[in-house]
Amino acid sequence: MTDTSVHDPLRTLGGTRRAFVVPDLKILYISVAKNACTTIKWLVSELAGEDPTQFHLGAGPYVTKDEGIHVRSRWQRTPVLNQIPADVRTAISPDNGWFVFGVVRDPRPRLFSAWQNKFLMRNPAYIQWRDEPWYPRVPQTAQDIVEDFAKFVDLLHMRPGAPVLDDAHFQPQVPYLAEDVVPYSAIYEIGTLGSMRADLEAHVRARGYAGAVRLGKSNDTPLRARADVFGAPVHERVDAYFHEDLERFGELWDFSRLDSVPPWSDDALSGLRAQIALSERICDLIALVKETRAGVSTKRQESLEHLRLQLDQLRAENRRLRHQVNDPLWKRAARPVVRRVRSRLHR
Amino acid sequence: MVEDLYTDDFADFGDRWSADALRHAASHTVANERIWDLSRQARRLRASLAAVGHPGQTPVATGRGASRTVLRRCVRIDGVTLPTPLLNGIDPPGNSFVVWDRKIVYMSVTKAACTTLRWMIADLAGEDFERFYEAPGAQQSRLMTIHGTRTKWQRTVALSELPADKLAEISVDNGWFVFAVVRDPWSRFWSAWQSKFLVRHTFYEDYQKESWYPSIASSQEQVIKDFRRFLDAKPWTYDPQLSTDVHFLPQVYSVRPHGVNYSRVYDLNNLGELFTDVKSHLEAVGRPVDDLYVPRANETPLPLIPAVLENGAAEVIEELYADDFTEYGDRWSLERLMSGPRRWSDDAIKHAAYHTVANERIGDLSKQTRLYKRKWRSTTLRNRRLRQQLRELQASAPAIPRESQGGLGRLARRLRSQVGR
Repeated sequence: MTDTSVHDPLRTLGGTRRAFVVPDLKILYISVAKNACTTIKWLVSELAGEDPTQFHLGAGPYVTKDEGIHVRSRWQRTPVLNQIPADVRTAISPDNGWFVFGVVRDPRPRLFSAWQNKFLMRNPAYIQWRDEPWYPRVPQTAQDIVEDFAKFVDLLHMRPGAPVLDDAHFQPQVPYLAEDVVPYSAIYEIGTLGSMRADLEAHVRARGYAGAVRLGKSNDTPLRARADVFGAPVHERVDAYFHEDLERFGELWDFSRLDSVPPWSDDALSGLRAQIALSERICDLIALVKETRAGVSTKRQESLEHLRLQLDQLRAENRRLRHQVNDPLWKRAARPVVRRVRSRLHR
Repeated sequence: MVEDLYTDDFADFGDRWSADALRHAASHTVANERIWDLSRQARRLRASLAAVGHPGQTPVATGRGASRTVLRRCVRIDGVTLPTPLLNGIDPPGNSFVVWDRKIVYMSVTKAACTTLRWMIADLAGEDFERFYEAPGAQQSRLMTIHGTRTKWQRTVALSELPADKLAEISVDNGWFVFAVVRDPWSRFWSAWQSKFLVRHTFYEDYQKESWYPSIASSQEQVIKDFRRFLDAKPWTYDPQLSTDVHFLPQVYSVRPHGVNYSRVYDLNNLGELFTDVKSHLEAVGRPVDDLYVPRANETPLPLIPAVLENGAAEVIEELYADDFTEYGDRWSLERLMSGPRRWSDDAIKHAAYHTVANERIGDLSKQTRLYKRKWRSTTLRNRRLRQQLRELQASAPAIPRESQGGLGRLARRLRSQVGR
C-alpha cells in the first residue's frame, strides 16, 4: 500500500461511478446494483439538487424513464471520488460529520431479481444474450421460470468467468462495498430502508436541508423470489457463488423467509408476459432509433460531400473567370503549355 | 324570397344590405334547396335500388336488436341470377381487409379482438411480419404494431382500394367469407378507456391536463373513481378528436350492418365459432390450414369487474351506445358481466402501473424515431437538391482546370479538408 492510499484510502476507488458524493450535505453513498439503487439514487439526486429533467433518456437501453438515473454522466452536482479535492476526500469519515452508507441484500433473492429483470423480462441492455442456451423462454407456467432460472445457475456454477457474469448485477456485493477503504456510518439491509431514510433525514436536517427526504417506488420485477426457485442443487450453487456475501453479512438473512412467499398468481404471470411484450417493443424501438439516426448521419455525410463538390466546382469556375478577366492575352495563351510542362515534371 | 323568411331582420336591419347582396343570398338559398332536393332524390334512389336488390329485406324482431335485417338476397334479372353485391349503396369501407386468394373480407372493429384478427388475416395473406415490427409508432407491443399504417400491408388491400370490377366479384354468393366481430359496449368502453387513458397511450397524452385524466393506478377504488370521472365528463361527445375516435364510437359505425352483406357478424364471445368457420371456408376454397395464427394482445391489465359498472355506470354506457344495443343488444347480458370476480389482485394493479411507465418510455422512443425519420427524409430531399445543383453546375461550366500546385491550390485543399472534418 502506498503512502497516498494510507492517507487518502478513498482515492483507490478512483473514478468509480458507484460513488455519489454530496459535499454540501456531507453524504457519500456507495451504490450496489439490485439493492434499491434506483430508488436511493433518485433520493440522493434530490438531496444534491440535481435537475431531474437532465436524466431524460435518449435511445439508451432502458425500459422506464426512471432508469435515466443510472446514466452517471448526467449527474451535474454529485461528483465521483476523484472529482473532489483531496482534502475533502480525506476528510470523508463519520468522525468528521459525514454520512457514509451502502445497502446489502440477501444474494439469493438478489440474484433471482437480477435474472428476472435482465433476462426474463428482456431488458434491452441484455438482449444480445437472447440466443444463448440458458436465455429464458417467455414463461407460460411457474415451472418454466423455475427451470430456466436453474439453467442460469448452472452457468454460474460451471462457468463463473463467463462474460455475461462480468456484470455488477451478478457479482457478490462485498467487493463493491470496499469496506477496507470506505469508512461507513452504516450498511443497511434492504429490508431496513425505512431506517436508512430516517437516519439520512436526521443527518441532512442537522445540516439545514429543509426539503423532503422521500423514497420513491421502483417496481421493476413482478415476481418475488420463492423458496421453490432454490431447490437442490440451485440453493447450494448460489450459496457457493456468493460465499463472500454470506460470510460477511449472512447473519442478516434468514432463507426460510422465502418459504412464506405465496405462489405467483395468474395475474402476476400474465402481467409478466405483458411486461416482456412491452420490453420487446422497447428493444425494437431502440434499434429503430439507432438505425434511423445512423441513416441520418450517413445522409448528412452525403450532403457534405455534395457541398464539397459544389465548392470545388465553384472555385474552379471562379478561378477560370478571374483569369479570363485579369490575365493578359500572352499569359492566357501560355497557360496550357505551362500546365503541360508542369504535369510532365510531376510525373 | 329571403325577405319572406327573415321579415324581423329586414324590419330592423334591411337598410344595411344592398340589392346585390340580397340577390346573392337568394341565389345561395335556391342553390342550397336544389342540393337538398338532389340529395333526397339520391337517397331515395339508393333505397329503392337496395330494395330491388333485396326484396326480402324485413325486420327480424322488435325490442333490442329490432332493426337487424336479413339483407343478403340474390337478384334475378331476366331469369339470370346475379350474386348479391357486397355493399348496399355505401362507399367501400376503408376499415376492411381483403385476402383475395382466400376469398375473405374482414371488417375491423376497434376493441373487438381486432389485434388478434388482423394478425390472423396478415398470416393468411402471407404478409411479412417484420415490416409491422418496424413501425415507429407508440404501439405498446410487437403485436400492436399490426395497427400501424396500411402501407405495411403488402398483400392485403382495403375494399376502398379495389377497382369496381374486382369489387363486384366479391359476394357471399360467390363463395366469399365476409365477417366482422362485435362486443358488448360495457366491456368495450372499459377496455378503450383503459388502453388509451389509464395506461397512458402516447397518442392521448395531450389530454393529461384535463380534469378527467386518470392518475397512475394505485388501488381499485382510485381506478374506478378515475373511470367514473371520465364517464361523467363524456369528453368523446364534445372533444373534436375524441368524437371521431373509432375506439369510442359505436361499433355500428365500423360494422355498417345495413351497408354490408356479411356471411356473419360474430360476437367476441364466439371467436371459437368464427375460427371454425374460417377453417371450413378455407377448406371450401381449396386453401386449408392446420392452425390459424391468432395471438392475444394483452393491453388491458384490469379485466371488467362489477364495481366498474355499478352506481349507474352501466346505464350511462347503454345510453351512449344505444345504436349498438339496437342492432346487437340481444346478444349481451349485463347479468353475466356482473357475476364475475369482485376485485382486482394487487398484481393486476401493479401491472397496470408498470404498463403506464413503460408506455411513457415507448412514447419517448417513438417520438425520437419519428424525429429521426423526419430528419432522414429532409436530408434525403436536400441531398437530391444538392445533387441536382451540382449537375447543373457541372453542365454549365467547362472542364475544371487542373488545380494549381501553388499557394492557391494549397489553400483550396486545406479548405476542402476543413469542410471534410
